[in-house]
Amino acid sequence: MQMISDFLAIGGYSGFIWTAYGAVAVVLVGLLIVSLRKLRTTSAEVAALEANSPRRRRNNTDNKDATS
Amino acid sequence: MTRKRRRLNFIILGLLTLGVAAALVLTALEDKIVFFYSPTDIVTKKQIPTNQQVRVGGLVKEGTWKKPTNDLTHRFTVTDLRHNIPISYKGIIPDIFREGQGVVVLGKLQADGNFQADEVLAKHDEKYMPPEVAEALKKSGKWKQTEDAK
Amino acid sequence: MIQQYANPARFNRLAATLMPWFAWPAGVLIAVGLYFALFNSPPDYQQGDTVRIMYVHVPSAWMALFVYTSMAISSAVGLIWKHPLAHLSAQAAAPIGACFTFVCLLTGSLWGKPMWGTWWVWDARLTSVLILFFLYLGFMALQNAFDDPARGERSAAILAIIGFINVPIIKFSVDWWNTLHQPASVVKISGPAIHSSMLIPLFVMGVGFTLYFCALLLLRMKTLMLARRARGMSMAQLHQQASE
Repeated sequence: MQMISDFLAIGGYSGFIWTAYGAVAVVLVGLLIVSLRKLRTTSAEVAALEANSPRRRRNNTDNKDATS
Repeated sequence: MTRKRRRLNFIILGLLTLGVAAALVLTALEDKIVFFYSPTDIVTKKQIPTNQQVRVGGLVKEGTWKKPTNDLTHRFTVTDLRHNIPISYKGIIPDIFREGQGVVVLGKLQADGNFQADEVLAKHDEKYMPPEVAEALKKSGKWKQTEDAK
Repeated sequence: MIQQYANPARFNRLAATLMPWFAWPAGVLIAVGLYFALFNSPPDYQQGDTVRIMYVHVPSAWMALFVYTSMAISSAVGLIWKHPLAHLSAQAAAPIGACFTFVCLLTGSLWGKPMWGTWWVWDARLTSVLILFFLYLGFMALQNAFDDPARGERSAAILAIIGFINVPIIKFSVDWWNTLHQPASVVKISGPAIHSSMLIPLFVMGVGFTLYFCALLLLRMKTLMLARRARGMSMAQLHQQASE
């Protein structure tokens, strides 16, 4: 227990160090989560549109989109 | 010349022009961009006004730091190894403030050549090492003092 | 020749192959790096334990510059060769770079207060990094500032290329001018001024951050590509409905 509290208190500057690491974790993990969520919603959107579209022309649309 | 080639040349030329322009501007603004003056600047450049706040940076000269007594004032000398500026400062100094270490002081140069500081910031060098290594280097005499007080 | 990589199906295959090689090592290296940074590295002879902030601050700063450089190169490729993936890559990279720059500024501030005695000063290094942060924000804003996405893309690309001039300024600011920030410790002519017990965890974190960026870049490019496809498809459906 003493060891843990010593560790957490590292050298009297613990507040600065832990805040820095906490901020890094929040920003980098947050960005990852936001990006993953965006990928999921966009995939769902494309899937819905595909289901809606009367004709399936997958390869065709792919190429057209890329060069547009 | 193809259009691609032309666009490439245009961007390269544009970047070169921009680089030269930036270099000129930054050189012209040199005095505004420097964060602090060295003691030599203060001593030799007479145009630094005495009634205006300026920053002086250098090393805390070994053996000059007098800790506060009754008047709560720190006294020390900032040096760039050519010129010295005596500083007095009433307030809290950073934890890594030490003799032989870098410091940047904000304040006013008094008419008598003393520098009255309102803020003292510590400037450390680019070396990082464990305490044991620093100790060993000092013992073996391989310790190199930061040559310039930049 | 270059156009063949623009095929989204091809890109997705390539991305899917590369992704595990980025994502897993990134996670492992950052975990190992954190272990060394927090538990298994010495305190500094002067700065004590605050030196631990270095292990996140310095890699973030590297990434801030690296991502911007990649963005400027992509933008130039996009403008010159009109490679369709180039603007996409710049667009995907910008928010990642902005996050790294933000983290760099924030951790720097949290390090500056206990060591220098101040959260912030307007010296050349700190100011030029703040400008880098605004360049990222400006790039993202400009991209969405026009109704025509192609125009936004081009304007943002020009900003990215012009702003690249700031990258060497950041790197050499500490040598060209008096600054409160100390000169370079790692990338310098006389070799690193950091003891190996600190340099190794720093590099582990640096490589971890780089791989994290690569993985996230692929993921975000894929998302942008899907979004573009969704836009194209909904437009097509609208046209169809209109003509029926």
